[in-house]
Amino acid sequence: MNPELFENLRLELRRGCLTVAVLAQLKEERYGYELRKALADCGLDIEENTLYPLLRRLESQGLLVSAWREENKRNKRFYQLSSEGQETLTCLLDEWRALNASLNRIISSSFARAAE
Amino acid sequence: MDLIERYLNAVKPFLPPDQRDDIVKELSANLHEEADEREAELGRPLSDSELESILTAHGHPLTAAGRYQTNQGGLTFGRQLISPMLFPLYLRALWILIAFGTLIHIGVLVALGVSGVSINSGDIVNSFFTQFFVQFAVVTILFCVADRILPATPWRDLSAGIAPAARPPRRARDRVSLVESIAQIVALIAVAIWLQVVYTHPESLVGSIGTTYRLGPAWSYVVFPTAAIFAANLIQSIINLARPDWTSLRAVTRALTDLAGLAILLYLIFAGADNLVIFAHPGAGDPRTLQIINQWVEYSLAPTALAFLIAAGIDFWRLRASLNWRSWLPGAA
Repeated sequence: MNPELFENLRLELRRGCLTVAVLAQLKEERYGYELRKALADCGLDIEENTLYPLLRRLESQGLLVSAWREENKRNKRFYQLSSEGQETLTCLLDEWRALNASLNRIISSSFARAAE
Repeated sequence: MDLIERYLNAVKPFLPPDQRDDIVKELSANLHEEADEREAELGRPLSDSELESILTAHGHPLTAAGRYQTNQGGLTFGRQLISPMLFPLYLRALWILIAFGTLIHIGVLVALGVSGVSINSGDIVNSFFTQFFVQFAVVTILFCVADRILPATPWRDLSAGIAPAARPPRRARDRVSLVESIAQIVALIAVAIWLQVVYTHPESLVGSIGTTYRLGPAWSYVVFPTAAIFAANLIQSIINLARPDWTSLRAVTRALTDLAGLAILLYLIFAGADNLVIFAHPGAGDPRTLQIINQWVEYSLAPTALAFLIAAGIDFWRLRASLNWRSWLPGAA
């Protein structure tokens, strides 16, 4: 296996999933570092320099809203899904489930053919 | 925590200007939060190396800043030559240099036209394309090199180069910014190459007229001093990349090179009068036209010399403030 090629394919595969994961986690309000920990706790490690710019991009696209607030004597920027983000997430999750089901069918049928 | 500030200082110049302060504020909050949590886990303050490993996980400052660029474009030719981190700076430098070159080009063509020299449209198109190609090639190559070198530079060298405890934090205006140093290096090399091309191949600027007229002997005497001025400014920028706190070096270099530039211009005006442009070979054109061209060149050198005089005055004023001679007096410390 070509490790460089695998890494490129892996990153490509993760890219779209990360957006869905971030949107799903932001049903409740979180700040950047807290969100990164929450994603890591669910087994989805994401680099800081990928997550923080992604949050800003999603906000500029109108999918998130943010507000500065003091917590534990420190000013933090809290992000949450906007109403448009909520609608988009619902559609994305439908798409994800359909894609996942198709992929599972494809994989299991190809494995079954290979076993015969 | 001073390391965090230094990391943020290294990231800041490469962020989109309209969001710079906001992004730094947010990054700072997240980094401090992460450091606080790690300290709470260990039950003691973090060492410099532990704090540095947190910052290293955020990526090199240039990479970290590059991810925030709204323009995620880059220059790719088979492989990526200029990444998104430097692409906005590259576009800006390219437009400034092309605008600068085009203005000079138009000025020269207008002056030649007014002098009575007939210029055909083919010459104009050819010389414009040659100028554009030279500037594009030079700026692109310089940025490709910078794109390879900068990410390999340890981020501590990008931020300050001074141990946190050694000196109190300096104000932004007491430092030469990384962007300024890089911009100056790119501009100096690009302009030096452009001048070299125009000097050795004047037809690249004025088309086939360059075969009728050429620069007079006075210009050959200023080639070495001009190269020395460029070299001095280049060395100063490279030193300021590593030592951004050496603002006095910048002030001294600028003041002296402005004076040297003024001396060169005065020499050209007085020593080379009526002889700044000569025929490429005897009887190549109309002597009256040649006289008008020389007058135009002189007219353009005079305000340039005045601009250098004003710049030198401002630089010496800043130098005086920068050196703060009163601090050298006994008992001033």
